[in-house]
Amino acid sequence: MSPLSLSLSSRRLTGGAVLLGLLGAALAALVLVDGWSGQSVARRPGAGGAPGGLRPVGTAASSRTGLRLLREAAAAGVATSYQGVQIVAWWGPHGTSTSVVQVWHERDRSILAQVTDMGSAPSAAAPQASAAGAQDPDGILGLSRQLLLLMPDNYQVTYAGRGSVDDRQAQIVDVLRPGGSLAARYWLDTATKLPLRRETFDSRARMISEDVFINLRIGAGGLHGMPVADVRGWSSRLDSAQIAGLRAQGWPVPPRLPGNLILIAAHQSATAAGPVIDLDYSDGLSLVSVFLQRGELPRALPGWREITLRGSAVYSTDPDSRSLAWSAHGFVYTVIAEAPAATVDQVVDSLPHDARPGFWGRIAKGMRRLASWANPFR
Amino acid sequence: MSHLGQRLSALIDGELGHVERDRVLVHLVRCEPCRADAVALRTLKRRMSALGGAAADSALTHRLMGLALPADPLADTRATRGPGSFRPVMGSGSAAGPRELRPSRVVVAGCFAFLLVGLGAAAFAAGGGAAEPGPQVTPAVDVFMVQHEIMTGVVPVTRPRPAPSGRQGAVLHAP
Repeated sequence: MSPLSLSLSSRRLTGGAVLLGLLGAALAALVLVDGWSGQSVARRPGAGGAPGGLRPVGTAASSRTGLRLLREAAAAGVATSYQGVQIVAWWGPHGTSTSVVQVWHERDRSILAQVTDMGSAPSAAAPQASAAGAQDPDGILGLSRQLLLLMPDNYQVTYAGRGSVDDRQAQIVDVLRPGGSLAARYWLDTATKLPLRRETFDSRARMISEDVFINLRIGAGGLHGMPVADVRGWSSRLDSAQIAGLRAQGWPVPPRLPGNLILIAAHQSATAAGPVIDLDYSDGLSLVSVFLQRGELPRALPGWREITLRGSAVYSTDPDSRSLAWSAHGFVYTVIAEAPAATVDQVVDSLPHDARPGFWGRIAKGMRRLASWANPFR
Repeated sequence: MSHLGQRLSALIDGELGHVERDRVLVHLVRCEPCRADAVALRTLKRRMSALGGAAADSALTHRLMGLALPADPLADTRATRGPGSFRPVMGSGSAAGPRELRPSRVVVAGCFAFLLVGLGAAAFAAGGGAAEPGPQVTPAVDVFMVQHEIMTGVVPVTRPRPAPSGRQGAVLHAP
């Protein structure tokens, strides 16, 4: 072999090695960047933090992966025993609320929660007494099988990378609106698939709520001291025929509400004031409950404050306006919403309201009444 | 046979005493010409009375016309200067007319306004309230919140609220 041929082969080998090195470096950089971005999302402060730099390409593969991860999380929420502490924060248009919740879940049983309020703004409240509650074994952090059936119809689900919550490795799944804005972000435990953290946002990228687990203990070992449930949901679930019967009797039961909210469940309960109908609407992520009762609100409602939504006077009990009540056309409406404020406004606006007649309208109405009273033939 | 003469007009005017009136009536029964005179006198008196009412109506019309005239202080002065004109009559009428009629107008207008305001107030009061007042219901929002939380799949949370109904837990064990 001549020196010239040796020199040529050594150059080719060197060039190939350089090319392979460059490819390897690019691959390593890609992996590092991906891992760093996931970590950065997990470390981003929640309150007021607009979703930023992480924008995964919404490919079909990432959508499939995201949906699969959410379904696995919903299943894990039912099949896994755990105990932990959940921090729940909610930012509303008129204030915020924060709670610390002790959570116990026994496999295939209801989740039990003991709540201690941490205070609210603007009205700083002292910690309140705890209450124990029972929950459907169907989901945690809003991940239930029923809602996951609706979610793909209204949102795009994408896998967004990796992160961590409370020193637990997590996979991140984004839920995007059709316009591409972030509606919710989930952190799912890599080991157990349990949802560890959820953040929800309105259409203007402002955070609405943040729910995060801390001190999570997996397994039945952490269930010592679990309280006994002293509340339960309304068992009288209404089927479609019963709902149709209610409509025939004049109950206002819309099949859907603005914001692609579909009626997913209806329950009935009996009270001293008469029957109460609970109508639950969801788009897969938000959930709005409308409670109906026959009658009207009293003139004085201690503890409630009157606010105006889209020109309609309603009463609210929460600083974040999640609980709203009003009466119209012989029914009392109470709306409790886990939804963006704009959606709540649309829902309240779409339901019946008594129109304020104004001065001349009231005079005309009174004239008609006086005439009917004076009519001897009526 | 002497006829009634001046006593006939006294009878028509109701100026006779009982005794004299009886005598005159007895005469009228027997005397055809006096009965005719009595009928003529009554007819005349009736017509005169009618003419008097018409004159009063005319005066009232003139006063009302005087009210409609502009309140020009020189108008009365100019009217009194023309001895053959219509204004002196109108002037005296218009000068007294507004002072006589205004109080009645005010009373009528006041009564009308009072009725209008009263009817409006009654209509305003009757027009308030719901069309068909039903039973008054205070929502048991704490109970509803628990039910809602159960439906969301999120752990039920007790949030700070000022216990609006005081009925917390009223239907916690609803069927």
